[in-house]
Amino acid sequence: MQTDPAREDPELLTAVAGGDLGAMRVLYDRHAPWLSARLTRRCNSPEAVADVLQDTFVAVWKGAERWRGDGEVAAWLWGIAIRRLVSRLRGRREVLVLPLEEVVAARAPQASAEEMVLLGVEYGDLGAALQRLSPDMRAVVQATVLDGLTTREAARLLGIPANTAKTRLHRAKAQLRQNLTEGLA
Amino acid sequence: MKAPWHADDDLLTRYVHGTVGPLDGVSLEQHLTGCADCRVRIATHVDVAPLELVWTRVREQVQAPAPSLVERLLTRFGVSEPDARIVAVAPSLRTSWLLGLAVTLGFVGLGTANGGTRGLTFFLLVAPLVPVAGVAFAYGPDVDPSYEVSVAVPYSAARLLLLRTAAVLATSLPLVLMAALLVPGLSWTAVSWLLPALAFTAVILAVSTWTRPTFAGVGLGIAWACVVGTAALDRDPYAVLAPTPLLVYAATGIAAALVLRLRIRRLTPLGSLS
Repeated sequence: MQTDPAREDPELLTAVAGGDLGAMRVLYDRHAPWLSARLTRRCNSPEAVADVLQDTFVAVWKGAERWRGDGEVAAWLWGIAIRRLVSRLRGRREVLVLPLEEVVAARAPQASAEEMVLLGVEYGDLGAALQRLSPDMRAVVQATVLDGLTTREAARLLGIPANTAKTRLHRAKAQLRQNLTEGLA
Repeated sequence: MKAPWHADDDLLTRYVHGTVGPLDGVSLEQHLTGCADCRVRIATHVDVAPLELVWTRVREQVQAPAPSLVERLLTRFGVSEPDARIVAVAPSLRTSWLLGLAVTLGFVGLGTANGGTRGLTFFLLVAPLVPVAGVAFAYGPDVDPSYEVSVAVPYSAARLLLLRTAAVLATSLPLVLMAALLVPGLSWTAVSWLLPALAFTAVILAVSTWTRPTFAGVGLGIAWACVVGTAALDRDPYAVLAPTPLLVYAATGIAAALVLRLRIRRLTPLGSLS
């Protein structure tokens, strides 16, 4: 599982598009672990995560030539994986999506200094503003803004009506805007 | 985005075990998207065994031959993938067989459309035998490429034969029906040949409990050719679809179905050896 500087991700994808299973294996070793960890945070069924991971890499094998060649391969892979997760969860009530904030309720009261630094680096004031959103709204923001889903897909992922997702995103944006301008003042 | 910091092991561990707060989690996720080093380091915290299993499945799936048209149709209609594979492997369910059938029926239909009793005789001769030929070429040591395998595995021979018969009927009968539409002004004929076709299918299945389906198919073909031929010599090929013969087909079909019902357990993968 070493990063082989000689074979960057785009180069591997080109090889995969040409049917190179060895390149596929390198790509898998490089990306499957974090994809699996990230999927696990959104779905608490190991079987579903395994299925989605499988679907994702099969889709990569079939569609490697569709990668446009710009941006991060990792981001492209995540785009495939999260959409596979959405379609996997469609119509299956037995697979529960982890409420993303469940853990938070226990630990959120005060963010540690270390966390504040981390968030400051990554988002600046936005991190603190996000923290103040209600769990429902934050889930929608995460699915749309950070995971790159449409509101319709996010609604399916979270098991809520599409209109509800749209409303929550709208309200979350308004609240973020307000929080951020207050922070500046 | 150039990340000025890297995630420490504590954060990675907590992230993988799901005990990290949402904002740390979100921060890390955005960082991981752009940082190959941290992606390598998080891999050491993720359990390898499940990933290896998934990789095996991925490899098997991408290396497997693409499913045939019939196989995809079967899975679309709710047949499980292993069943679909074992059903679709029959020669009479290959795309090439179905193409050949379509072309043949196209000629038969055109011949009939040109009028005259010869075309009609030909249609009446071919149409009821299409499913019979399909079943004859769906099972048994003569034609089935998976036959050796099916002898060795604990898969019910009856189930295999019936599944394949159903698939043969579902793929070939619509083709014959379409060919029948080419026959002008014969709507009654276009439907009533279905009765001998189904009766013969039942007969070949029943006879298959004694002998190979190919033998049964050839026998049936010869018998039907004699019947249609005799009727054609009398210049009245329609006679084979008169009410009395139709009753005979129905009775034969029902009798064959009963025999099949009684003897289906005798059907072994070894066919004639039962």
